[in-house]
Amino acid sequence: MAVSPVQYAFSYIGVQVRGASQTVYDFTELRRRNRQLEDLVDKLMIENVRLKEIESENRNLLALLNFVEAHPSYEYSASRVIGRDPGNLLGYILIDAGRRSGVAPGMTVVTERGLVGQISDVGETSSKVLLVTDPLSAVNAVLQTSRATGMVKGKAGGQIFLDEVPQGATIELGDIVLTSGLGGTFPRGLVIGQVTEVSAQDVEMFQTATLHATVDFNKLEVVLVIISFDSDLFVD
Amino acid sequence: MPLLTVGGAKPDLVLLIVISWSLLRGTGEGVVWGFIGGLCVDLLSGGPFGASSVGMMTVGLLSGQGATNLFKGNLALPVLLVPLGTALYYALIVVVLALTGRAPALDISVTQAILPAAVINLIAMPVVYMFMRWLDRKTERQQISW
Repeated sequence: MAVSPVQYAFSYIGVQVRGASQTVYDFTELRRRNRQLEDLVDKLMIENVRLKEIESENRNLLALLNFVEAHPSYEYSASRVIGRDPGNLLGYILIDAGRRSGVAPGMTVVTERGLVGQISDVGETSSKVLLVTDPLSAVNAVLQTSRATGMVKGKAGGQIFLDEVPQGATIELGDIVLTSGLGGTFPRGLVIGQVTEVSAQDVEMFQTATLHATVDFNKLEVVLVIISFDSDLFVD
Repeated sequence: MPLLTVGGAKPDLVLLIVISWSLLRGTGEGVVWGFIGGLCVDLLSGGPFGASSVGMMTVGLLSGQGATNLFKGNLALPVLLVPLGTALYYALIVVVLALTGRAPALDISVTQAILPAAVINLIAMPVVYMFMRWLDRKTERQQISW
């Protein structure tokens, strides 16, 4: 009939208009949802970073806990490293445990990887730790394999070496160096480092050996201060 | 900056900033910022409190003698001053440590700390000085001369 084409035309126009308005609506809705999703991604990224930090801290603390459980005879105070000596001459760190936590000068500081150093100065809530890498540090030590004794000293620049080992004593590459406990300052058996190079000259009275410290002093975050220990007990 | 080391020594950024600022602004500001920078280092240092302040103030005082508009754009003087400034700074710290009975042996201090520090400071100085020169331009007061 004659009205059919007209009806068709109006119907067609109506469909197009509805389609266009739906497109505009969809576009606005999509932009809103996109912004929402971007905000959610930002929040999840921040949360992810926070959780990774917690995971890393958890791993460190678990390692320290394993060390504590393996040596139950000691009394410890855990503390965070809050500062480092920025110079190149001395080797010190600052920790957030002081007199209030029972810390006193001379106490041993360790991580699960081995010996860090010794408390040198104590405040109410913080203390300075003389690292084994400090040139003034000296630790009585023993080689794990040959049982030869010596003194672990620090070098400016963050290195350590074994000195005063008698000529004739055997120093093997890769041998582990432990605290000997002589003098009673440090508990016996704490790991200090591993031999990487040996220097033995006949004209010298003693041999020396360069050590690779087991502790990474650039990555210290949490340490344990040994408040008390039995000097007769061997740490294994 | 643990990635940038020479023989285990890391750049003494505070010292380099003091040397740079002294060259750019003269003795007065060099001593003041040497004191402030040294104080910040002393707060974290294991040495006697004040050792770094004394060292940096002295370096600031001497470096400021070289301040002149003629050399502001030239990197030669700052780079030349770095080994001297580093040696002087650490020498003063060793003296203070010796007075308190805590100084490492002189040969150890020189070979293990001072020499490597001088080298790494020399490497880092051009970057530090260029940044401080930019800061100097941004903050200097315009002087009107008739």
